[in-house]
Amino acid sequence: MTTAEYNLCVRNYSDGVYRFVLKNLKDEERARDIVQDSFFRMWEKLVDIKAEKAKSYLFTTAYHTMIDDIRRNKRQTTLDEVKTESLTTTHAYSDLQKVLSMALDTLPEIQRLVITLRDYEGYSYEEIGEITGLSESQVKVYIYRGRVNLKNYIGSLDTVI
Amino acid sequence: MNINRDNYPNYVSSFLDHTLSTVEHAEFLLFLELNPDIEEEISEIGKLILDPETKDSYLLKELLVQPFDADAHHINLTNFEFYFAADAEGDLSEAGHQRIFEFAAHHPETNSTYLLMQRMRLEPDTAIIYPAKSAITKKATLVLRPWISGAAAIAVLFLIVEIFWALNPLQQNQTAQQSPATQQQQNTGNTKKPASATEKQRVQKVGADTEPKKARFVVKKTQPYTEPKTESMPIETPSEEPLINRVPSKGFLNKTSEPFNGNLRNFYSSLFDEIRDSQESFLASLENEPEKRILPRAGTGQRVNQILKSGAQIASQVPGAMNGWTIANLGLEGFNMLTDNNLKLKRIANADGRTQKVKILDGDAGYTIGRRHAGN
Repeated sequence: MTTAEYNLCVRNYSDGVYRFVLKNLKDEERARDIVQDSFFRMWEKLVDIKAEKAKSYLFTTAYHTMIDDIRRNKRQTTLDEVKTESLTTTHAYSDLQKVLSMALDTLPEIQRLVITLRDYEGYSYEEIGEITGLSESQVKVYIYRGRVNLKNYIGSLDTVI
Repeated sequence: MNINRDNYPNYVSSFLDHTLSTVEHAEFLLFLELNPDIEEEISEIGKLILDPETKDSYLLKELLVQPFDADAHHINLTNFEFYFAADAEGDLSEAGHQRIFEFAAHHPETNSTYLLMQRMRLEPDTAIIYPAKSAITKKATLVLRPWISGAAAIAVLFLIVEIFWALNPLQQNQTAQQSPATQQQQNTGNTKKPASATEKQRVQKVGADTEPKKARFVVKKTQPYTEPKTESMPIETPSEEPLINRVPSKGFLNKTSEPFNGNLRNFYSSLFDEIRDSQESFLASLENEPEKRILPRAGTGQRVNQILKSGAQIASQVPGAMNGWTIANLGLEGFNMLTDNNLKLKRIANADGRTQKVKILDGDAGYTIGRRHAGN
């Protein structure tokens, strides 16, 4: 990969990686650090990385760095800790995406990670498996469970205008 | 077996698991009846045992079955949400998609769930952008990979060699002209051996030397001298035909220390015949022609006149006969010119003037040449 191709990756993928990390960490400063680290690591291995594999390399690097950061800081929430009844019965939301974004925060870590990779970047089960180290079946199950949890958080369709 | 307050803990676990024998079970019950406080303690412990029959079941069994149930054969009211999610992800087959619709039609209460699952898609928030792109952008620099540098060096070297090859003056001069000695050898037929440098100088010297010499005849060119080709003419590589390989050089003659034997004599006999044959036709024409002045052609200079004069002189001195002696002498001169030797013919004659023997003298050495008579 050339320097020009590297700079093209900065323009094309830096926002996506930042968005992915920020949605999972909820920490802007730490998300910037992880994005920067990911690109610096790719720069160090510039000659070894092909341009068509750059995006996958960036997300894989960011994912593992983020997981280490999460486990180190123990920023994990579970669905049981959130009282979804109050949200679904007393509030009405005009923007489904905003609601989904809030619902995303309530998902377990791994479900949140795979769903953001699936919806934000359009990765396939296989590609998500390569990034996260999971099998395709595992990725599929986590996505299904995440969808169901999002649905449960949303509640009935009548609550969303 | 005697169960008492000291050893009863050993039987509690077996009692709760119902693994004591009938006798032990009866004795433990008797012990608990006699010790109400311990009986109450055992009862509390019994409440902590989990019931394996749990209401919670794993709802994703169908998702774990291999291969994946893409046709939705096992959809039911407990796992339909996951099949709806699979349909929203596009992981069901056409038959499975149809079966989902049929299930929803049979269970209308699941329709809202199906519609909701279709909308559980996150969209990226494009307002979120990475603010420090400039910090991670690198300046593009010209980097030559090693193989590119090597290929460029080889290409430059090849170009230099090509230019040198095209402009090599030595090669051009060699292809532009032939040496006079080489031409002369070609004309006389003795072209099987390349002329030595000494011979070339000798040929040039003879042309320039105008001092009269005794009985020294110049081997003549049978073809007019041609100018060397100019640069405007296309350069042709001369075809150097090999000269007669039997024409020995002076060095060859000097090398042998053996006496003149039959083989060497036969060699010179054949050489004598060849020289004679090459000159005989020309000398014959001179023998019959009167001396006349011929306009010299370009490049021939005095040589032609000298040759003609010499030929006429020979004819006048030996009227009516151009015997072998004369021809051999002429031939030997040519041989000397070709091989840088200084051989001489010596005729040994008897009292009546008839030639008895002919010798070829090389300094003090002599080689007798005789004609083989019939029958010998």
